[in-house]
Amino acid sequence: MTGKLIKYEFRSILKIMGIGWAALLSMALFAGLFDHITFRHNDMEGFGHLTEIASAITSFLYGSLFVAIIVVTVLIILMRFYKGLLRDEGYLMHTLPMKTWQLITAKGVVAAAVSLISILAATLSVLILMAFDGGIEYFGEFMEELLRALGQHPAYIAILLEALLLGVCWIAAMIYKAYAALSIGQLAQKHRIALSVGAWIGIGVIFLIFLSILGNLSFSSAFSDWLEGLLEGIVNDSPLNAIQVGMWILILVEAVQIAIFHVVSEQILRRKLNLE
Amino acid sequence: MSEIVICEGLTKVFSGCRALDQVDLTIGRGRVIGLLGPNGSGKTTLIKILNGLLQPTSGSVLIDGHKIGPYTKSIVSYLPDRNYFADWMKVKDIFDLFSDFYADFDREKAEDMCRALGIEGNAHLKTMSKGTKEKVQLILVMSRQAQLYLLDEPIAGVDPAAREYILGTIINNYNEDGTVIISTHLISDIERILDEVIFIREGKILCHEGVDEMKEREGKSVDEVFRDYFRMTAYQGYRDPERETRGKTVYNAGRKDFEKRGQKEEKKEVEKGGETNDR
Repeated sequence: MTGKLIKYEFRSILKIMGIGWAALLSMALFAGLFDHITFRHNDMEGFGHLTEIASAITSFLYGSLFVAIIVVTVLIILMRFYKGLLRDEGYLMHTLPMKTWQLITAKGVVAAAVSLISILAATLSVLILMAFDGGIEYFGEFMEELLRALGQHPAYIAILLEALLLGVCWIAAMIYKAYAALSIGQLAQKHRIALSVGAWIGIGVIFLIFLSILGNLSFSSAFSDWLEGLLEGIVNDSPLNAIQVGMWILILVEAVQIAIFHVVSEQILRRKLNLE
Repeated sequence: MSEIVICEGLTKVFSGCRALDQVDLTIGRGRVIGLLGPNGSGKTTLIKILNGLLQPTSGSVLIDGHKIGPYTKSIVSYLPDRNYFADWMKVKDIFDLFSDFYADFDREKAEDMCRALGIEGNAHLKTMSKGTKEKVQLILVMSRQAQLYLLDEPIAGVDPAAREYILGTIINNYNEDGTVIISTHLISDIERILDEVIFIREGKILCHEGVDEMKEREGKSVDEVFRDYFRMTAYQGYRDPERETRGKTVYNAGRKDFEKRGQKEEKKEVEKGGETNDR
């Protein structure tokens, strides 16, 4: 059933984001094309000024769309949770024969996926621009070098995958942090958005305090000795292992945050839902 | 289990205000029940608790012998007092959603009912009028073969023709083994379709009985009995108890007016007093 919820969540977001992604890629194509014509084929008599103007307009539109995609992605993720679960749409969603954690999970999964697609679309649009500018050759060379290095040192593949996983976890943790803040904000009768912003800041402060306590704890001799012994055993004098250990610690920190924010949101929406 | 709803000591407190106060209620199957009370009496709160949209402060509630959860939500068909459609949805999207999540949803029936109203499957819900959206929502709710229908103010704020349509749709389409609870304060419109009534005021159940028994006992229509129960005295202006003790009863439009008059009278009295003293 969670899969069905994810399907509807995707449908709701794709109708807006799909247009945005397509527009960004199309504009990258036009901007790259006009840029290429203007600067590489500036001997076109009578068309020089026209292509220059077209290049300027398409480049401006591309830049604007690039920024818009980032802003809209963030806004739509927040709005889908706020409107879908905390406003009138909540009367439908919370009366479906589902558990609250399933509703939140569906939102979280789709929000993370949409963020990744937006990042991919933005990256792809830059590659399209580079392709017209000859930069794609450098990118090709970079990729060749990267693949060669990975072939020679397969251990780097794991690090690359761990870095990707860390990125996904970081995005998911940010999304769930926003969900927890919005869930806390809905407890108020008035000024819910203001309370949500306050909750977002408050959660950040609590985590900073927690991390500083953890940092102080790690300086205490007994804990420090235990940690050093543990890490030495795993790292075993290999810098590659050290990087991997670091990666997994960061992934763990993000995963713990995801779990905490999910539980906070779920408990509030299950016990203290306030749709009025 | 013969009862579809059992509430025991159900209480809901909102920031110091008791929306429901020790409600004990047992509701049987195959009945059409009016949940009747003035605005703010606790009707919507009770319905929201039965739906799982609110958690009671204390007490318990069982639907078909189960605590509120995915099972009870699968057998309850709920019509809220507001529109819950997402902006992106077309009529066919919401039908897809209901087909996916509710095993008892009769899509064919819903499509037929929409066709009868001239509503196309490809129509965007966002562009529909408020009245049409309400009708689509009602069609969705009544196209389910639910065990319990919870209809929160289905006829509030609609014209008499729409009321007829709504009540006709409810009566002609509900699962006859199921129970329908209709909350409203517009008694005269729904009286003829009710089997039982529940009167609620300030979160307390005042009465729960069959319509026929009530009519026979009171010798009046349910609407008249309701008016007797909830009769209020109209505001007649500010009364000053101090002046009443002096044998004067003053009614007027408001306190300000009263105070002005009072000041004038006091002035006169002071002047009179002055004259007497002079004498």
